Amino acid sequence: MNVAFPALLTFLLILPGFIFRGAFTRSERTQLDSRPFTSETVKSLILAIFLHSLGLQLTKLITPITIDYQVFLTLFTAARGDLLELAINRSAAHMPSFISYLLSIYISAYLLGLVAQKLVINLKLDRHPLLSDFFRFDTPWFYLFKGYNDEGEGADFVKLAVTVQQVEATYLYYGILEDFYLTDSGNLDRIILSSVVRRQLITDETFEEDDETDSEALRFYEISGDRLVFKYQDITSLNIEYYKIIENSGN
Amino acid sequence: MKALQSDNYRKLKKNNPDAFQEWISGKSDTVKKDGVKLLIVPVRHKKMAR
Repeated sequence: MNVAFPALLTFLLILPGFIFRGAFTRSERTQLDSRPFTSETVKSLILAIFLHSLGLQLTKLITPITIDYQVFLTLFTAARGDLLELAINRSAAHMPSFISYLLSIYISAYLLGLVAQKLVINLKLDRHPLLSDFFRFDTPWFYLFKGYNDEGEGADFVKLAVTVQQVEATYLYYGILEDFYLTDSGNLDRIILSSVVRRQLITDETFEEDDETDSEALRFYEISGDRLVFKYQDITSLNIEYYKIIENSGN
Repeated sequence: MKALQSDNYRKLKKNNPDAFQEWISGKSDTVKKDGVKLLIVPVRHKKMAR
């Protein structure tokens, strides 16, 4: 037997674990976890064993197919001789079923990964003191800007105050956070704000509390345009505020 | 990736696109929806830090 075949078989069998992890750790085409490959491989291997256990039990329950583990082990161990010939003949007869099983387990792994991600976030398992080590994604910006933290609980949107050093002065920009982009390693790459106003940072010293509204309207000026993009490398500081919209009880 | 934006916020912004611009520039602290005034307040701090 070609030695590559057991390797191919191993790859096909552990693939559901990687597919699950891929779906679980990805959101809006952004990778939420960038742990080392060895760590991912161990997790994927454990998940593949779990998914196959589940898949085989389901196959046994809902189809008349019986799994011949002897054939599987013979192919897997690259055995030679009559035993191999017998295993090939028996497995060839069930090849369509085997392919159907693999396809269904791959699709199930992907869907389960998506569901698991939603469950982990909605049930706050990634913020649980005991479980967060296992479930938390390795991207702090994701938690900050999605409001998945104590401060963001019940918020409707995020307002950012960004300071940017320019040639003549440091400017303070206020805006509503629309989108953010992360690098492959999980760091912030750029942010996109809407409804942006700006002022020079030094003008905040004349602020009078009693005259807040008029003072602010005078100090800030609007940036024309719908979206303003900031590269993270250009930002010197960044303040995050979570806001909610409530009905005015005085009205 | 989309930032935190509730359905409530999206609907308000769609129907009243200038309101948030006015709020953020300090001209108003309310948004009107169907004749009702809505306040925009920080989740944790009562005072707006600007």
